[in-house]
Amino acid sequence: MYIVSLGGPKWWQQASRSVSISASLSRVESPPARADATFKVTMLPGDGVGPELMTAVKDVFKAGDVPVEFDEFHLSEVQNMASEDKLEELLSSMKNNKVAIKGKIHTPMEFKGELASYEMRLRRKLDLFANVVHVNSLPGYSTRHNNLDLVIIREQTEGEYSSLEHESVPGVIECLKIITRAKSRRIAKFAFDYATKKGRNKVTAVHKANIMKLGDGLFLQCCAEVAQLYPKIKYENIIIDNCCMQLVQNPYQFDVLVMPNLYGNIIDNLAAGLVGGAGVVPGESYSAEYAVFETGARHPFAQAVGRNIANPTAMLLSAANMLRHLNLEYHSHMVSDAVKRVIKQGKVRTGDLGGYATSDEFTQAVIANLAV
Amino acid sequence: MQQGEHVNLKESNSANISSIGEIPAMQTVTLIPGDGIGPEISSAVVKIFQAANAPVSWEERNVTAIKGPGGRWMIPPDAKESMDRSKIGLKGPLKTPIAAGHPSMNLLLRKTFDLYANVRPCISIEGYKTPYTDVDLVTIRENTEGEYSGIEHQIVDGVVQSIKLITENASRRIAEYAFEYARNNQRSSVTAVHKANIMRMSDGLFLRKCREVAESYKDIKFTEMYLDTVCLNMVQDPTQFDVLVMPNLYGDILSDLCAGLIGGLGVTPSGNIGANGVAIFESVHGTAPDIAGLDLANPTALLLSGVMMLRHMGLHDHAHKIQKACFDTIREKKVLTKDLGGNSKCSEFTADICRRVQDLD
Repeated sequence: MYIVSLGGPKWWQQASRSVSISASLSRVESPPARADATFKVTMLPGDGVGPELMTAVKDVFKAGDVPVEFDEFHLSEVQNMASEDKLEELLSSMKNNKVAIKGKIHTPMEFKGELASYEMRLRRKLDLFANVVHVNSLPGYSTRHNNLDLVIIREQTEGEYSSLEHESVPGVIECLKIITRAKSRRIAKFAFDYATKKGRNKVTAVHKANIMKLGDGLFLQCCAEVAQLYPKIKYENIIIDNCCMQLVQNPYQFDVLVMPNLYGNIIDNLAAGLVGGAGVVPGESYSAEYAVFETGARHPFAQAVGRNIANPTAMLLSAANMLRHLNLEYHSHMVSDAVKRVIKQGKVRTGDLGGYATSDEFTQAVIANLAV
Repeated sequence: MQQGEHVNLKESNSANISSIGEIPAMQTVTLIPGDGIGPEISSAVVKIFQAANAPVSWEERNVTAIKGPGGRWMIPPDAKESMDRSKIGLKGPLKTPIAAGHPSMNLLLRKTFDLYANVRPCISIEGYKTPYTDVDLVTIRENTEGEYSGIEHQIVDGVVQSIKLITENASRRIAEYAFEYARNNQRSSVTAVHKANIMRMSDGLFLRKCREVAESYKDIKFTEMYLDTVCLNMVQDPTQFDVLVMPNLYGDILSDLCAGLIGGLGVTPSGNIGANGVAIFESVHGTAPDIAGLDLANPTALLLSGVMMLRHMGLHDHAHKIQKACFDTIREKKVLTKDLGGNSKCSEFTADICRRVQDLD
């Protein structure tokens, strides 16, 4: 996995630079543990049910005696609590802590001046280029497709989400989709490194290069080039509409999927729906230096605010992933096992899984199940 | 505020069907058999229509691209003339040449007749089991602009820019078509699918036009939903959706997603509506060259597209008869083609449907 660069063409040097990301995946990335061995993590509750889910995480962590301290920030575009200063504070906290857990910052549809939302700007400033969603069927909860195990890797900083739009003449709007070789190579390398590290067999690139010949064609070319460096991993590609059709008919043919921004959004949500919805799938975003943990399908779920019905599973599982990233293996297993045990028992389930429990009841059940 | 002749076409065609008791006038339809399994499934459909006594007279045409004056590629003039006259077409699968120098045939047809709306009704087929039951929705996709404008360029080495185009006129046109379709087919709601939180100006314009058009159709419920939310909910509970209207790329993805819910492209009908009253109905699967000519093909997709065509022409009775016969055959499971899980030949499948249609009379 470590490339010995023999002073070849320029892109080799670029490729070997991104090896550090994979190296960082296997090494502890957080700052050195303090004297009292507590890790500091930035917390961004976001909008909608975010604050409720964060409360669940904090409660579980307190009950489990997890040595993590949260630095909370409240940044919200819809509640008029967003400003440049807040963003700067948040960024400096991130630079110190390197790890964050966050909810979704909702983007209002009306824009005042800037087309890029705060969520997008945060991603760009931290260069969180890779979004990884691990789609696993929950034991004990059956859906139309059981025993799923997919990884969806999505490029998160360019593509259709460029926020470059303009009205050429009244009534005619152009929106630019940008694909670059550097970023396509970077995400392809990330995908193959991830697959190698986790022992996966196949990486499938998802694209629409038959229509967007130059744009997605470039993405596909980069994936193919990177694939040659990993002879042990099978490489395939599939067109996005066929991919969606195959996912609902036979999702077992896929292993790791890598794709540009918009298709990633679609496939993340589709795959989350296959195993139980937005409430059960955790996700994380990586840059070369930072790791941000969140839910897989990112929705503020505003209609559930205050009704105590949101499912904390996704956020709790993501928090467990965060603990593993901080090298707190014992606590990570404790939290994720407790969540899985509650779901498997089936007695306490929130509405989206067909049960009648409130978020609080579910959180209490998880706390009760923490390894005694 | 009626826009486009296609809306009035429904009324004018209904007028062709004279009062009850008289034989309805024969209507001409341009038939494009296509390549690969195209010819065999087209003849299967013609046979079934004959058995149902559908008042349709077929004009067969070929649409292989030819170079016209000025060096531009175009479809053969006799095909164009036939289509302009008959206004209705039924098309089989066309081969997409890799290096023939001309653009894909589907693209050429779309440009020639300004086929701006792609309509795909997705209804669960009773005899063909999939994990999703009770699907009954229609996806209406804007087919001329959006992400498929084909405008791309390499700015500097390694940086490519693709342009997504959204215009007010196209958005208004597709929204009006969607609401008219909902009204004519007794559907209760129309949902606009978009990503206006990310592409605030372009999808914002699309959404605004949909909202404006919704004002004139107060009898139809109008909702809007983000694309990712639609995908999330579609695979959990597809029964909550009715008519979906959306720009080009989302439409492409969602219509294939919905086809997957009911069993794939082999059983999904599709229709393309043009600006001058032209409507071309087609099967969306490939040409299947490996089974061409072996009498193994499944004509269901083309047949259901033909049924859609009959409904568009106002011949609801015939449409209902043929659809019922087709679904009954599939439900019985005695004579099924290989892709539906059986062992029969295409001709046997066709004969069974013809028999049922005649029995239904």
